[in-house]
Amino acid sequence: MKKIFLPLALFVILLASCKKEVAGPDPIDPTTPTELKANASFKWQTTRPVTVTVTGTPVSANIQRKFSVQLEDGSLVYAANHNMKDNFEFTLSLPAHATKLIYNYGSISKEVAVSGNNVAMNYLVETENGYDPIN
Amino acid sequence: MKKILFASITILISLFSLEAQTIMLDAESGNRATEQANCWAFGATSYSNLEFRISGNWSVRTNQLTNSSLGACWIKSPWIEPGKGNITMKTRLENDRGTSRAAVFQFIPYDATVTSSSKEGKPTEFYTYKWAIPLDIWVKDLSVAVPAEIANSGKPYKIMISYIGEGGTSRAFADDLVIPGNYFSSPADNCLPKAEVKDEDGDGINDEDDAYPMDKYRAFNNYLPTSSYNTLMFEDLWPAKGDYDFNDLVVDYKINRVTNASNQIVDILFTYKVKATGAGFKNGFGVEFTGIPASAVYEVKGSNIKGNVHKLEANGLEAGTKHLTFIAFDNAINELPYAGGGVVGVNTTIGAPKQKVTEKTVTLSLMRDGKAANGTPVTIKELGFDQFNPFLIVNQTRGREVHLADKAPTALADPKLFNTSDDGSNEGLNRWYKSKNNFLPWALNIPMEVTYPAEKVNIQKGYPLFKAWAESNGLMNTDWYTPSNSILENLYK
Repeated sequence: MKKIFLPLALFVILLASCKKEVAGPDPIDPTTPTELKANASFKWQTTRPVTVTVTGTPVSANIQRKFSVQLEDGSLVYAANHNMKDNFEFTLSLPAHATKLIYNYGSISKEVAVSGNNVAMNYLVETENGYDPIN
Repeated sequence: MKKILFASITILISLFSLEAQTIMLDAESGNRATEQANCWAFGATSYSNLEFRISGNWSVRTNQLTNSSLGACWIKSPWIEPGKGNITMKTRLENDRGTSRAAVFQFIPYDATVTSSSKEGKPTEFYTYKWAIPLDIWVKDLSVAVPAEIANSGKPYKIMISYIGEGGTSRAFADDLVIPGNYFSSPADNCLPKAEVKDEDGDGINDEDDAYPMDKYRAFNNYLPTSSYNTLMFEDLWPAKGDYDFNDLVVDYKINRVTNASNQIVDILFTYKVKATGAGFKNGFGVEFTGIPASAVYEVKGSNIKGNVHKLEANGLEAGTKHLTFIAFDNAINELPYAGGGVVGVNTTIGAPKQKVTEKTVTLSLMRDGKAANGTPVTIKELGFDQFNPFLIVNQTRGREVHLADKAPTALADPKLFNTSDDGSNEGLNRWYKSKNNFLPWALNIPMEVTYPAEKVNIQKGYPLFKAWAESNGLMNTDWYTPSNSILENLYK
């Protein structure tokens, strides 16, 4: 009898020690944030739409290049083919924490601060003496 | 006779148009930066609309001319290929006070060997106009022949006009400068002379700009929302409230809309990593691009679908939907298998065995050999972040979807589940997937790769500014999810 009891007990202990990993749904934590109440209209978005308006420049040559926009950390948010003479507009969904954009067009690179939902960009580079003084 | 007359007129017109090639500066833009964008350069000169301007509303005005250096006050043209003829210009002094004033004309050759980024060679003076003493303020019409050694040479040169003087306070004005020749600068390439554009695939995109220089059907990578990873976090007990640790499914993703030279979408690359499954459920994950028809896609590649919950079209999109919908995976466990340790979920319990996270990509082909799947190309304007509608499919029940707040369910969602348990969706108000009393969501999208709460840790404990952000309608603490605003010990590591 003892011989039968021992393996049986071991088997029961073994079974009990097995835990099924695929369990049911998580039990609800009583500390759910019931104290948090949002506005019914709040969309819980962590991005914001920003409309970018680019003013072209009446250049004397036909310049067709990539216009790209990136965040301060270098993440790319826009890249498309545009003529330097053309005005155009596009909308980005920017991370809510973004405060600055960097845009590039060939060798032209400029920074612009972002605070609201609209940003203006252009190709004008104002320098005191133009591109390079005499050698 | 008619033929001879026609040919003669054509030749005359051609000759006239050749002669008519000129470079002009009249300052009428009123903004010097406009001309600088066209590669004009200015030294100690500005635009002025004062009464001493020469013509129109604006002229170029120098600083006071009390320096005999040619590098003090000057105007410099862009690179041009000078033609034959005369350089003409109007100039005057602002007053008659001074002991000498002069305008000096120089040409500057291109020299690739100089270290300066401008690549300007040594200037050569070819004409000097000296004001007679006593000075006067009358407008002078200057006309100077383009030097024979540069006229029609086919080489790039700049023309530089320097103003010099001694004594007194008089400044100079300049206007209506006309130089015979062809414009030869490249405003988007440091204003260097125009160079031959290298375009291996012939798609019209400079290889320097082309992300696919050997593929004429692809040119740029366009990411949504950014080229860095973004994080989606889900609760999966919908329509019942969860524990708000937002780790029942955590997916990092980036969306690359590969575009062609016409800014049309050729492919959509959805790259993702399942970081965590804090649930015991076998959850799936899909994406709808709202407003984009399923017919816009030739083929879907890379979906990880092993079960039979989803019915697929021949192109790999999910069947029976209203908008373009693909299922990335039908069971998160296949993406991130259990790592053992006797815990529910994977990569959510601190101290339990970790499972390795792998990156995968689902590719949607919208164009082939330049042709759109349904004949109408989709542009990046038409498929933006607003169209991105990701969702979780709860525990192999196709009709039980969990979306981001206010994102509509797909056509395959079970309408009977809305407004049951804690769900407060209201189709009439376009309100979806918010709890009925507190308007809390079941899913969050974070526009950067973030760490998620550890198992059973309320998100507010990991991100203490979350509550203030939510209760301010998203106006305050907009960076609540950034690492500097998190409490690391409450997040999974």
